[in-house]
Amino acid sequence: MHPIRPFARAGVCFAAILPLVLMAGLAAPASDGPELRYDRDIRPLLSDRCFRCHGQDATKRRGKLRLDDPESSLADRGGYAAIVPGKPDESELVHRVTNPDPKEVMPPPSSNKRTLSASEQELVKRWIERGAPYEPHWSFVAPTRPPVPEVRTANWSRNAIDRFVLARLESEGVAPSADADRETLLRRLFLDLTGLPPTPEEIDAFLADRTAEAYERVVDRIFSEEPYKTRYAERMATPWLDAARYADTCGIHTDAGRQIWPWRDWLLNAYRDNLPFDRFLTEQLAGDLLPDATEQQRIASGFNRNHVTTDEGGAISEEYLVEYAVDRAATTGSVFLALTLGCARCHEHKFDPISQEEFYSFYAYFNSIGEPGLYSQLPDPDRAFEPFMTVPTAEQERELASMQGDLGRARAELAANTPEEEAQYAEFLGGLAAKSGLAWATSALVAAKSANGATLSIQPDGSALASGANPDRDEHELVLTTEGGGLRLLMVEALADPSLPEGRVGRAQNGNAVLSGVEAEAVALADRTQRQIVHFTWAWADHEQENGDFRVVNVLETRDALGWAVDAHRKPGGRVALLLAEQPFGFDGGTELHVRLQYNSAYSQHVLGRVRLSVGTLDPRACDALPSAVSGWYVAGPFPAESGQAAFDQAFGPEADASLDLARNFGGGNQTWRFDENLRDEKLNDLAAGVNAFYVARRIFAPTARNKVELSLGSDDGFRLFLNGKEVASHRVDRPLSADQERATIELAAGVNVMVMKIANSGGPAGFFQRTIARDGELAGDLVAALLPGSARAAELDLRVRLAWKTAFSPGYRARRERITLLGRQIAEIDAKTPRTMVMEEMAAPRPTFVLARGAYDKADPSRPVERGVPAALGRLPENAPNDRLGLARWMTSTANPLVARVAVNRWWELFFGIGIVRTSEDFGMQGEWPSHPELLDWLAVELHEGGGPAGGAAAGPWDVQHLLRLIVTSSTYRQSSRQRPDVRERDPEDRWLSWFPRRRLTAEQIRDQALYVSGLLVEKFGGPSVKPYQPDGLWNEVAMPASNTRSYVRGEGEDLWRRSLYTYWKRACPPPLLQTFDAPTRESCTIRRASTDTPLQALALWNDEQFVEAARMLAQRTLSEGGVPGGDDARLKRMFRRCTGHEPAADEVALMAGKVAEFRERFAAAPADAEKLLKVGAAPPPMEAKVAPAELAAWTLIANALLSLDATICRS
Amino acid sequence: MDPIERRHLALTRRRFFSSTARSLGAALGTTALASLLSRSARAAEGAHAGPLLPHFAPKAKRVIYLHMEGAPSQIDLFDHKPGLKERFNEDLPDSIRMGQRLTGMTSGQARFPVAPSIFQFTRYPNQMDGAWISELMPQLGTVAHELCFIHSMQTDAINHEPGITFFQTGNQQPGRPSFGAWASYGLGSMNENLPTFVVLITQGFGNMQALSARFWGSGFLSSDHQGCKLRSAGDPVLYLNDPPGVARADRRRMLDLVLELDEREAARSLDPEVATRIAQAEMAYRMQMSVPELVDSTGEDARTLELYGPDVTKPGTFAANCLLARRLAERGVRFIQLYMRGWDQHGNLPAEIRLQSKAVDQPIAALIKDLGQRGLLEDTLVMWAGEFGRTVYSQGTLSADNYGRDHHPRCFTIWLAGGGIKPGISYGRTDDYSYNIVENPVEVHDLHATLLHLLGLDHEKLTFRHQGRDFRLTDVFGKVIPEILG
Repeated sequence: MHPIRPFARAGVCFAAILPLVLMAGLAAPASDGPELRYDRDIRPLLSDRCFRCHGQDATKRRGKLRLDDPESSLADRGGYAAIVPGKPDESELVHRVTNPDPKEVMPPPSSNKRTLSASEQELVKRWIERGAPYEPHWSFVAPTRPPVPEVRTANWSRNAIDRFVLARLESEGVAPSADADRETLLRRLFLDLTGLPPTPEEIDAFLADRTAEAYERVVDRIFSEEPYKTRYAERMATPWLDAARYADTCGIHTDAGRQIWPWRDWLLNAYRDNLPFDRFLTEQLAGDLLPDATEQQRIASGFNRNHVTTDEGGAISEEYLVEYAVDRAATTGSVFLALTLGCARCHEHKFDPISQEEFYSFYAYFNSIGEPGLYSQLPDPDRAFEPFMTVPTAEQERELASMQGDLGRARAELAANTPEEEAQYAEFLGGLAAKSGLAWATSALVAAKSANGATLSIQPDGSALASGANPDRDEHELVLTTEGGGLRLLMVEALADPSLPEGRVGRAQNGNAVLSGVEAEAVALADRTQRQIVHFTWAWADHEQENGDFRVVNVLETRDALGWAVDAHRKPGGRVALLLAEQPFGFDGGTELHVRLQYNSAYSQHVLGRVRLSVGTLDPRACDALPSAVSGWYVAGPFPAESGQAAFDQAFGPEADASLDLARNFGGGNQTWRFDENLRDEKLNDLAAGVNAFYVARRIFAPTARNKVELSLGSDDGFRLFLNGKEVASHRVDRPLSADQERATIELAAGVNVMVMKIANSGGPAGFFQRTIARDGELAGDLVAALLPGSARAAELDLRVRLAWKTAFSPGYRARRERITLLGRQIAEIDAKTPRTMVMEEMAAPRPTFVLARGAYDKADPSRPVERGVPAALGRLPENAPNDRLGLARWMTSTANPLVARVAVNRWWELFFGIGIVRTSEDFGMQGEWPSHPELLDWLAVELHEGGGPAGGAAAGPWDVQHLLRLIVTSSTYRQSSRQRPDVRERDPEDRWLSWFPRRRLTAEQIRDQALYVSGLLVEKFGGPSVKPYQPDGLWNEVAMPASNTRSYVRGEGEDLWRRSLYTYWKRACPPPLLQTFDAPTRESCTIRRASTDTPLQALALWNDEQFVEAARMLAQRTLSEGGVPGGDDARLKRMFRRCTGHEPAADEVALMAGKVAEFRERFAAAPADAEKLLKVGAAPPPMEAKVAPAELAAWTLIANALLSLDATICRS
Repeated sequence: MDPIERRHLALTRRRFFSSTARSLGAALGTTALASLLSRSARAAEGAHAGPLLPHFAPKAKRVIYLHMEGAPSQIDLFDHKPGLKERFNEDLPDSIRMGQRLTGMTSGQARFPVAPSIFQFTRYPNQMDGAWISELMPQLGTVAHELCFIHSMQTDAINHEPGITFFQTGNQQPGRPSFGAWASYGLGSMNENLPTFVVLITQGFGNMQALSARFWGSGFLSSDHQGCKLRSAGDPVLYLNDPPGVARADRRRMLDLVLELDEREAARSLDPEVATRIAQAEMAYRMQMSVPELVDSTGEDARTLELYGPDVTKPGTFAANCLLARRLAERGVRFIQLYMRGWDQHGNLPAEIRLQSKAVDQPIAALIKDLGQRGLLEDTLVMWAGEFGRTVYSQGTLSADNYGRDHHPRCFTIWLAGGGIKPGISYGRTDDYSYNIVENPVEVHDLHATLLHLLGLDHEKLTFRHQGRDFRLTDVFGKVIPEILG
């Protein structure tokens, strides 16, 4: 077997040299050369015009003919064949492509493909004439090292690269260009490798070093010394961020912020440390799967979490899970393989040997990540989307560990009771009865009956037990007798009983019950004509069901169906409620009390099965110590308004409602009060976003009239507080909601009060917060239960009382609790600051994968299951490799892989020369372009595999990135002058032969970084969270969703303004405007090549963007204040010019500039106010030592503004 | 024109055709100066050729596309279903729903109660049997004879992001060029002082979705084709205004220095790109004057201002942006896109749609009339559309006068006017529930194909090679709808 060497110049089949005229007809300059090659000359033609219908896609194939497969194209088709080797005239193909008849000609007019030109037809004929030899596609055959060509020109080549380039030039009869001058070369090298220009000092040092290896030493220093190493990493990382579609927001819908910058820092470190390319690839693709993966390796796997994600309510999770996996597969394919795998998502690849099955096999490596398809929306813009990991700094880790320890100890201490506290608590409990006039009367249950036929039997413990008929609704009347009067309290104990369903308290099937009302009437035993109707105005219960309007206060209103639900279906055990009468009841000489327990709720048979009643006294002072009882929250709204102010001002109706009337309509009949179980006290409650008003309301049941009840409130964009229909507080303010934003004091009447709070919102999410502040001495919260007789307090309730007491009265306990709160807050603060980063994480079991018909997420074809695998045309996973992403990485980094090394070296080539050896650096498939220097590409690929071969210069390890870059930048090819050669340009307009070095405009990041650097503003700080430099106001607000957590751009301060551009915060829906102006992509999908356009908007940015004006001011400042520059204006101009362009200006250029300095000087001297205004642009302070007249500085600022806009500044030659 | 300007314009012309630029000019042959100014010589990389001229005689020279972000309810605006009144609160019959996919927001609803529109409809005369328009858009009724309603629009997307992305780029997922970018790529510029594709945004009253830069992005086309946002606050075009303290004459002097030095650089490097950038800088300088003139509507006569309504003088309102759209159209801007945000009325629809409609009704009618009276309507294609429609059933609680509606991609109404569209007709029909299309469905790709056709472009020939494939706005779909062509 002979290894296939696609680029070997053997030319076995065709020795003939094609006539020049024929070659001139070809579109691509790369296709001229001495021989005719199927792979280079014929396949692109057939691929472009024929394969769509006569290629590998069986579903689109016409006439059962495949022209990409000799078996089919040469086959006898009943007396004729598409191709008859050696006989073009007998080949149907030739007839069809040359036929002028529109019905016959191929490709047919309906395909919108161009027919073959005369020269193209000729090519096909000649190829058939020579036997129609097929070849495998060059990039699908692993590269082998070709011999370095012999060249005639001596003394030009410095390394192997040059010999390949020179051989091509010699074959064209063109001499290479001479080396660029040394200033140009140094600036080129600095910008290419570090993204920043050299300083005048660095230029001088280089010019002064006349030794032979001066240039190579600079290259070595860049790779090995700081600050160059870091600058190099920052420069190299930037295009990789485009390829990896890195950004700081999720991209879709709210475009929420997220953290994945630790991955970006991993990337920087990888370049700085010269991580070998095989590890660079493996860690990004499968860092999480490496055995004993380090933190850094897991972070690296974030490469495939950089894609866009959605949090759009209503989006379908499965759909996006497919999109994410497709993006990963397609990006991995583009970045490492330069294959357009995504084309095979919906159908067989039209051009490359990738079937739809194979696409899904490849996709299957990426579709089993433990991630949601639809991400939740949270206000935190610094969150990371799951799966993610936290990446605490060493210091954070230490701090956290120590605080967690403290917290654990504090919690243990909190649980313990000190003897002192025990004594105080006992004293409180013991003294309570005496202090509050509390006495539970002795009473006897004398009768019990059901209104609707249930049997109530009196039990020895004084309770009434229901049995027998179980009607849907009922009323139980219990009659008690007791000795005295002056009663205020009624205690209702709901007791569990084994005879009840599930042994719970209720008679419903699930054991639950809803008490909808309690009425009572007292009859004097001494004189039965004396009667009192007892009004209960306050209630408390030990437990209330939370999933609806079920609070115990509902029993106070006896006419409706709302009631106290006891949640017994979920929680076993007894319940207890306490009701307070408006006035003392009962009679001296004994009372007969008729208590009617009503069960009128919507819930059938929700009747308490065993109830015991008790009555007690309480003196008025103690009544005052009872906390107010409250209903749940009701809401009405949103009421849309034209503005936040209008929302605040306009009365929509509910404010006047002093009764919380649930039947009432507001807002033209559109709105009513509705109960909302999600609205709670002491919580940030969300209301719908928009420009609107909301009303929230509740009833407050005060046992006694009380003034100075304090509320702590929070609201969006202002609130108005109404009590019983009257406004008692308001504040109009634009703000986001948080807890405890302000206080309001209200007065409550005894009995029921209605509080309405209006929240006006001027956009974005609305919400409110409220908590009631306990008054001094109040029996707040569970302390009310201290009033119960011990027998009615279950152990659990006892504990709650104790805790409530400690909270209210024990200073030691409160201190300990505050400490815990503080520690909790500190830990949360560190936690919030702890970097998080998104990573890959496999699910326990991979998702089964099927071919999706037409790529649609909901059209999985169960008859076409697929296993993970790589396209057959590209080989197979190495023996023993696991069939997961790690195995995939091993396959990619094996030297048998035909694509990975070629793709990588081509991209580096593109970085320096603008156009890759293969122009289509993102597509090495059949539609990709033939390489301009195929042998050089293979030689470099093998050089990367092997790390230095016979002609490779310095020994290096395999996959050594810097070794490759060093080879390129030290070559004579790279060092050529960039002066264009009009004579050669006519034949090679794009300089694909590389007879001069291509001059190019700098990238967006380089342009900004350079301006910051030459003006002395650049803050060189490695890594960390992204920063927000200058940006015109309002850009985000114009386009963001009001609910987005990246709705407003808050400009950073200080250093953040002057960091290198790759650290700029990237919001995908609105990318950094300056960078976008200079062709940065949106980072929504993988971008391998940026365009380089020239637009007027770029000129405007260079002139007027705040950061460029500031840079100009600082450059002027620097130029004027730098010491040791004798010679006045001219010397300064030279120095400034040199900073920007790396060159001395010519004499006439200095004169031109000096003329302008004079003009501007005069202009600003005449208008000092203008000078002042100009000098105020930007946050950078003028240096203290500079005592330059404003007019002078302003004049020089405009000169600097001009120099920063020069073509020579924004390009590298 | 002031004398300094005049001198420099002359200087620029001379400079442009000087030796440094000659080779570039020659390379571009007959290409108009305008298109040279709007794009780089390098931008054609990957394309078949330079700017594509129209494939056949265009009916429309420019487009004004009014995108109603959030998706307005066709049932409450244009798709009149009087029969629904009697079906209030009935369950949507399964025979109508047919198990079609719902968003995650209503898929859990126990019932799908029919919510008839509470708004009155009026029949306005047109070239057919009249156009039914609800009371929300009374002014639009006065130009009904100019409008071509498509009641049978449908889309593949059910949520906003993919829905808007689909309408703008022909694909639901990010990454493709927008319609305006394709128009710029295919037809180039008609004005050397303004961008080819301009975007204007108005904030709405209801629930607003995000507007992503991709909606006017250039995708894989070079970035000079992307939409340029014209802003109502700050610089109308980013970085347009000179910094404080810098006067026009200062900028001119500074620019002259740059150009003189650049010419020397051009001579040194023999790089034709230098000349391109010189031309771009000159255009930037001209834009600094032409854009403020453009956005300053104080010169408009009182009658015109009155036509657009009282909001026209408030920057950023829909009225102000409609007037600006006319001024852009007059000045030859190729593609003008207005966004009105906030039509996403899942709840409380009647109140919110009133506010939204009030903000757009008069300005849109005014725009049509204004274009008409200036003779611009005949070659300006105006389109009004959301990204999908809304459901006939109520999302959330239905009452006699309040309801919400969920997303509905199966059918919705858009309208077109001017630019070679057949005026005063309705095309396509929906069933009694405005739930399914019963006649002449129009897909987004069909709409795109038709619009391109009116611009003189064959949607199958307007391609760009990217990643080895010839991409189109219409992907591999789309057909021109002859019935709506004038």
